[in-house]
Amino acid sequence: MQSMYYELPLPKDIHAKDLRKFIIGQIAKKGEIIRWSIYDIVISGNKKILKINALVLNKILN
Amino acid sequence: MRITPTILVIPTGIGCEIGGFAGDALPSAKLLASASGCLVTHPNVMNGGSLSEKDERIFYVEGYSLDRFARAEIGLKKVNQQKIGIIFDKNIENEILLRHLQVADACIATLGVDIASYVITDEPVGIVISEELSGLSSGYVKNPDTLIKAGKSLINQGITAIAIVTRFPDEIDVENVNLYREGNGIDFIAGVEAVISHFISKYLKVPCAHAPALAPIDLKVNLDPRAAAEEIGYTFLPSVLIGLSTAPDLIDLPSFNDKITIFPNEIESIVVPSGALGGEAVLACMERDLNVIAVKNEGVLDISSKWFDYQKLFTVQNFFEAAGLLIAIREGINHKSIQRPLKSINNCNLRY
Repeated sequence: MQSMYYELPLPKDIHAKDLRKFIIGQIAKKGEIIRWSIYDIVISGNKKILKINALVLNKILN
Repeated sequence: MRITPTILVIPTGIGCEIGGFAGDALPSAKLLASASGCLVTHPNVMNGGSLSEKDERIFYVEGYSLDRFARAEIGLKKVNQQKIGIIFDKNIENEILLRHLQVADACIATLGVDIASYVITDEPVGIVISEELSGLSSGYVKNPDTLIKAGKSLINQGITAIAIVTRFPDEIDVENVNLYREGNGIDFIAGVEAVISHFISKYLKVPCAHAPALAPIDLKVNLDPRAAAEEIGYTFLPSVLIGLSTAPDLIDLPSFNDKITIFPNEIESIVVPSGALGGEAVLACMERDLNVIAVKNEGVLDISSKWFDYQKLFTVQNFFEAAGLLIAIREGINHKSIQRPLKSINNCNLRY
C-alpha cells in the first residue's frame, strides 16, 4: 500500500462531467486504487493543475 | 409520500465545522433524511464513538461502496439485520480487547444486535499515520493482507457485515490531539480509518466500518461538544456496530435481484461541503448530471464551485437551506420561484 501524489495539468476543453474518468485514467496506471481525491487546484502559467492524493495497492490480492 | 433520494458526503479528516468531529453531522443527516425521504450516507457522518442512531430513511454505506453507488455500479438492499463479525488487530492489548468484547456483548444484550463472532489478525495490521500533506489526515497500513485473511474467515462463517478494530500508535502528536479536542483541528487518525474500510470494501464487498483502538487519554476540561461523543466510553465501537446492524446489502449491478431497495439511477442529488467538490462521489454525480448541493461548511480544502463549470451546482449557506432545496426538489417546486430577483423567461429563437 502506498500513498502517492500526482499533479495533473487539466486539459483546457475538459468538462466537469468528464473529469473523474480523466483522473482515473491517469492514476490507475500505478496500481489498484483504494482511495483518491483532489486536495488542491493551482494555476501555473495558463494551466490549471490538479493536485491529487491517492492510496494505491501495488499488488493484486487473491 | 414523495421522496428525492439523496447522497450526503462529508469527507473524513478534512476538518469540517460540521462532520469533522465525533458524529457531529448526525443531526444534519437526520434533517436531510427528513427533507429528502431517503438519504445515503457514510460512517463518518453517523458514527459518534459511543453514540449513534438508526433512522429508517438513512442508508449507512461505507465510503468506497458509496463511491461505487455514485458510479452506478451497485444497488442497495435493505435488510432487517446484518450478521456482524469483528476483526481485531493482533496489536491490541488484552485489556483493550476485553473492553471491545464487552461492547459487543452490550450491543447484543441491550440493543439486540446480531454479532456472531470475532477474529484476531494473524499479524499486526501496522497503522501508519502520514503527515506528508500538512493539515490533512492520511496514512496507510503496512500489512493489508492480514486484514483480508481475517475478513475472509469471517465471511466463510456466514458473516454479512464486518467491523474492524485496529490499534493506533500511542506516539501521536499531542498538540494536534488537543487542538482537535478543543474543536480547532482535524481528526488526525480519520484518514487512515477511511483507508482501512475502503480497502475491506474493495476486496470483500460487504458492509463494513472501522473503529480505532486507542490507549485511554486524560480527562479534558475545555472539551469541544462536537468531540464529546468520543470521550464517554472506553471504545469507539458502539456506533460502528449500531450502524452496521442495519446497513444495506451491496448488490453488484446489473442484477436480477428484484429486492434492491434503491438503485443509483433513483438518486437526484448529492450534498457535500462546498470546499470538498474534488472527491470521487461528487465527480461521479456530475458525470451522471445530478444536482450537486454544496453546503458552506468550512474545512481545510478549497475545491469549490469556482473551479467547476457545472449547471446543476447549487451553493447554499447551511444545512437548513440544503434541506429547503431538497424539499423543493422533492415537491417539484422550481427553486428559482422562491428566490428574488425573479427573471422573465428567455426568448429562445427558433433554430432549424
